[in-house]
Amino acid sequence: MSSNSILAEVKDLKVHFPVYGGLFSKKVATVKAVDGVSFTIGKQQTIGLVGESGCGKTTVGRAMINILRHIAPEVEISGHIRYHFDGKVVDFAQMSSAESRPYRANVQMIFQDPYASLNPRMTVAQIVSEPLRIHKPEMSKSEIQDRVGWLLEKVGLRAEQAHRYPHEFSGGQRQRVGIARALATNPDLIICDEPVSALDVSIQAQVINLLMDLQDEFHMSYLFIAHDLSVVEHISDYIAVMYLGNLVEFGESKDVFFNPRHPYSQALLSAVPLPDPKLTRAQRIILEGDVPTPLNKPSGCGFRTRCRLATPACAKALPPLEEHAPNHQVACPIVKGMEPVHPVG
Amino acid sequence: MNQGSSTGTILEIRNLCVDYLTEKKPVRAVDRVNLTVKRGETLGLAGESGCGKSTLAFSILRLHKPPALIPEGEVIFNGEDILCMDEERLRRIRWNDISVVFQSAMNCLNPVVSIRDQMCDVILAHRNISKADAVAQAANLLERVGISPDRMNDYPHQFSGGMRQRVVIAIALALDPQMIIMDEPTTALDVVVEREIMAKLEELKHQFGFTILLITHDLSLLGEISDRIAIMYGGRIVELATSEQVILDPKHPYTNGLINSFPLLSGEKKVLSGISGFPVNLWDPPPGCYFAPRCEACMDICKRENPPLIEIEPGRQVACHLFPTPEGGAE
Repeated sequence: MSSNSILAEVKDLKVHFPVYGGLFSKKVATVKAVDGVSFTIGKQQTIGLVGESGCGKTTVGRAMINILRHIAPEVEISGHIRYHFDGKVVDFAQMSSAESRPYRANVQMIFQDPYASLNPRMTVAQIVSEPLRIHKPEMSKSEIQDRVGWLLEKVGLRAEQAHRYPHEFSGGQRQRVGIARALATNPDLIICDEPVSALDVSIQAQVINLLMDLQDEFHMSYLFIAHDLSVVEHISDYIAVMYLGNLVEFGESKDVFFNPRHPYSQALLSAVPLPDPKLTRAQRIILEGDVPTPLNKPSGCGFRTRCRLATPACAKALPPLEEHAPNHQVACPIVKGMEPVHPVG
Repeated sequence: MNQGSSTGTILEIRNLCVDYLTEKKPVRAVDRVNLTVKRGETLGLAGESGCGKSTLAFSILRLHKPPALIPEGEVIFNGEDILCMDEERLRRIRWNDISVVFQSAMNCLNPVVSIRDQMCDVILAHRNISKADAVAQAANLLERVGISPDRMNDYPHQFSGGMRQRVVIAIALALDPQMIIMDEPTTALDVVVEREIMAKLEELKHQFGFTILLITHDLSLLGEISDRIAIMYGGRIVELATSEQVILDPKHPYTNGLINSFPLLSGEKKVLSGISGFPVNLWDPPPGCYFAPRCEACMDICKRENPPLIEIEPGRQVACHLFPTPEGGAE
């Protein structure tokens, strides 16, 4: 990827939350929610970030809009989140919430729950214009009003619905309001944190199609965080698979889905229900047990406690992401040179 | 255990209606549903939020509460109508013969009672055995769902979501029921945990041969594990067929729309068409087919008359005016 097509570089990102306890509220432990994650997002690209609950995928998304220092001041963030905004390089990982504020208009977020992420006491016009009022104070009232109407039309609502309240809308429509709000400042990157998982399937497809159409029109990038793998495959150019705070596999969407190499990705894809009764699985890998707690991670590779290929060597050091095939990085030395496992036989 | 009048059928729902009473008028959440569950099968019931699938599940065992009310219909279980039973007889059927696993069931365990006591409560309430025997039985059940009996004295918060869900399944199986109704049993869980639970369930089903009525919105999951699928829309069943027929050759336009709403993990990308518009508002339903306002194949008759659920081929039912008679339809 040439350097001028890169939008964001995440390098060795670590997000640790200290846990305080005891008589004098001493630091007794650390939750290593994100523990050394690196990837890049190109302009107009969609990166899918997948993993089980608690693997740290939402924390990565929140770190990327630099909101963590605001909601949890004691958080320890290290590494780099470098954005290239119009030739200017800014590193959100090194900035306080206030310092990054002038640049935050460029990175917006769509949240999972369209019922909880819209203030019930604000009209749609107020919700959608809020980022404008914060980031573009020079805009006049009538400019803002025009912009809100235009945004609502863009996401498939009607401009005259601007004066309604969120409760008057269905789940899918509310998610469209959330999308309009994210689009308001014309961002370069939108973090989509499980944007469709709270919606019905027929509505999910509408929202996914809307996101893809908007990308064609406005050329922004997406970081698409989800646990629904088939949706991620559909929308993403690249996929990052996360487990216990680390990336275990990163590659082009097709490669990761149809030729997964890391044992965890293989198990994850093997778990996806296959609706087509004619397709059979080559082999189904069922993971036993649960994700270990990030409070007390296993030594070495985090996945070794559930891995079918684990050897004693896996406990020694955390395997780095290495290129196993062109554009396809895997954090597992054992599978190097092995054939990928096809989830669909 | 009295056997059903017709062998092969465990549960027959006839003309079942469920209304929710509101101040202005009753809202019909389940509208004249006819559904036969065969002994030993896994029948999937799918539909979007608000289509009445959970209300239907509740009313099978009369677990619905006011303002829900059943104005008409029959639920025949092994030859007896559950809706006409006295409370005592119903109490014996619940859990003993038909048990229910509710949505987010993992959160319905009592947080201040140990797993062992919760399981024994169920067994002792329905079986006349000693406490020691009940504990032994509980240990055996936990082992079956893959949880070490050493953890019996633990409390729900000490288990992960997936394990709690397995505990709930163990409790549902405690009295060796003939049928289990599961309402979105894995919706709150990750795909990996869902897979583990579904594999366990299939294994248990082989072992004990119970019947499953599985209610979910996840058609891909149903396509994989159920024998037949019923699709519900606006309180009515619009299509009933084998899983293969529903997934690969859907007849009803709504089913077709649902199938085209999620990507298949099978290679080529297809355009997700979704279904335009919004689900039917049962407060103010259209006069004819409820799906007509969203349907691309909508005809004049669809706006006037509700199509009945008819058999278009043996074992395959559709409620759509595109299929007027079993012989020569519009298609």
